[in-house]
Amino acid sequence: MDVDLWTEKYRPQTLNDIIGQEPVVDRLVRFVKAKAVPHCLFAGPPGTSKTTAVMAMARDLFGDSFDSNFMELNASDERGIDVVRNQIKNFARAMPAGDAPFRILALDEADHLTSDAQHALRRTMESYAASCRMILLCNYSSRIIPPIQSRCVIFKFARLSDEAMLGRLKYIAKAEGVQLGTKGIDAILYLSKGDMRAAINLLQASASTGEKVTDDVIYAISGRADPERIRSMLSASREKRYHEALDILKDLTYHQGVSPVDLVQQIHREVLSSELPEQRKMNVLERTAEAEFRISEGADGEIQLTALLAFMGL
Amino acid sequence: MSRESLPWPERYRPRSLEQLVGNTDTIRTLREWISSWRREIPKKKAILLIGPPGVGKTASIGALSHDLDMELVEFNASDKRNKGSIETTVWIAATQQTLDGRLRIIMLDEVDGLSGTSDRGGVGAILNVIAESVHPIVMTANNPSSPRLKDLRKNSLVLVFEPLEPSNVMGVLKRIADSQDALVKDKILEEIAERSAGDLRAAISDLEAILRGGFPLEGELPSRDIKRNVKEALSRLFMTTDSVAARRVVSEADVDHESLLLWLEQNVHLHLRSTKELEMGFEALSLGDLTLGRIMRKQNWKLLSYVYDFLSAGVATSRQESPFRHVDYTEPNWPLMVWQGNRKREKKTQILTKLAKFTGVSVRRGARTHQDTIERILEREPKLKGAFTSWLGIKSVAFDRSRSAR
Repeated sequence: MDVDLWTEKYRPQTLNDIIGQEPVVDRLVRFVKAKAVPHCLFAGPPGTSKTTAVMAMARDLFGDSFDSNFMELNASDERGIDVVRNQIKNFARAMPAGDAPFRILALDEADHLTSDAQHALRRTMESYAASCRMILLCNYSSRIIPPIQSRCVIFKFARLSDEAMLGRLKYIAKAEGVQLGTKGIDAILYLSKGDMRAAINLLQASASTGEKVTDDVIYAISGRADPERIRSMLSASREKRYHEALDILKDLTYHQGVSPVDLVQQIHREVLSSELPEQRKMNVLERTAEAEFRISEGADGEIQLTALLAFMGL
Repeated sequence: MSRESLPWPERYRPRSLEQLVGNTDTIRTLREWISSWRREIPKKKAILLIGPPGVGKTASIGALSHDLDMELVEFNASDKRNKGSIETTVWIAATQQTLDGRLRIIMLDEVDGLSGTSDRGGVGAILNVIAESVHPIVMTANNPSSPRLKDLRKNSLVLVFEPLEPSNVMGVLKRIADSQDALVKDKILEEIAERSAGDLRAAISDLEAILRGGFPLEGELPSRDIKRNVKEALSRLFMTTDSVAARRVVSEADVDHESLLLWLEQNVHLHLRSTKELEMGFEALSLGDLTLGRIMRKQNWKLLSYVYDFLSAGVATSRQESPFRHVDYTEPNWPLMVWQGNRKREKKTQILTKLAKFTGVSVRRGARTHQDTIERILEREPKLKGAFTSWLGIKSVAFDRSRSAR
């Protein structure tokens, strides 16, 4: 059996293979053509091709000398000032190997660098600009101190659209010989919420059972409930058919093994997109938050969920 | 490696004072102060340049050292700057003459970035170096309220750099675009200049990104200005009263929950004008804050999603009668107030420690009994202030009754 992680196996190797993010990728492609890259800051939620874009850009630029001219550091592992003063400075001041115009240093999760460390990065970015370009990756650009932002060109990565995800998932499924139906795809899109990495991981996990990848398999693998079931549970309790609501709840927790915390989170999502009047919706949200907090504090999941369902019937 | 491949902010870094724009008076003062070293060593041997990023603090020193033909030695936050390393490296540079007898400018960049842990004792060491130096010492910093600057301010001349005028930024952008033989519409240059909020380095970076990476579509220039980002997000948030739309605004806004909470607290009353709305809005804020507290206590980040619910949908749906209007949002003053409060308390504690020592009671009791008495006496007989200060051996008295005085 193939043990490769699909997220790595199908990570796009060149900029042109990246799906979605067209405005950003277009510009990166031109940087590569001009062999001139400024310092950059990539900001966006997880699984939106930030790391992929850096690596693909470096590969397109460096070709064979990729290994000696590219370094990736994950700032959340080593985020103190000493990393900047030692590791980063040492990499940055070395001359690029081969005929590369400069080296590239990718700092993943740069928003986790301490503010001291970010300060130490400032002049390093300028002093060694001739030999090294830095690409900072983060979820929120607001966590990066202004002097660093001032030194970077900022690119925003948006969550991937369903269409973009769909195309890629179908491509991978075909390449791996996995049977993936429309309902299966919908389930993956529902659960991954625009996070490509999560979607591919889910597809691989579901395919590993060897069956056809249907929505049932996907919900079972991910330990989540079919949103349809959640919706019918909620409408039952809203219409005061308590027994029916409780039956669904029991089936989900005991037979399908959905954990109470996951259930509350799915309820939360349904409440948000429901048609309840706004004021009522806020009240229900408040109760939902409370239920999740109590469960995480060790309260019994079934009792809390039943109470939550009862509240919805009020 | 040619200069061609350098990122533009480096490639077009000013080499001479003539190329600098903005802050003319400040830069003139700086120039005069450094030139005065040729005649004699001035009273203040260090100068502290404070200002936001990209306005020419470091650049003006570089250009000055070139124009005045002085040697430039730079120490910045990427170097280790604890007591030991400052007392060796910086001290040697500051106290010894140069080989060719030229003056040497010692630049300590980013002194507000001295690390609390790794650079322990750094400020004290810098003060010692200033006292002994035979060369001008120039320091730069961004954050005027940084506690690390407290002692440095006292011992140096302080110069404040302001953000650059859009016209100044425009001028430089035009010059660069011309040197690249690139035709750029004035409108685009104007937008870059305006978006940069007086940060020339950022503007040059943006120009580079556009000229090398292709023109952006209308309104696609990314913004670095955190305040501006937050303000735009707030305005869009209050435009809607629909929970789903509100949630989307916040998730697209690239604003983290902590700043969002602070900004909302400072500004919700501008939109929620009736008492009922205000109550509902603050209830939502309070729930968001409560949930954040729960997250912090147990690191239960799964609850974060609810924080965003309360801070977006909760606040936006509270507006039920007041019509939407465009308002000027103010920056949260809460962090500043905490800082000021701490400083005031620091001073008080200093007095109280002395009092406690003299009277043989605990600090807390001293505050309850003796301090109050002294304050009452001084209220009636302000002339006694001097006597009390000399008795306690403190410089000036912060005995002013801040509670009743204001």
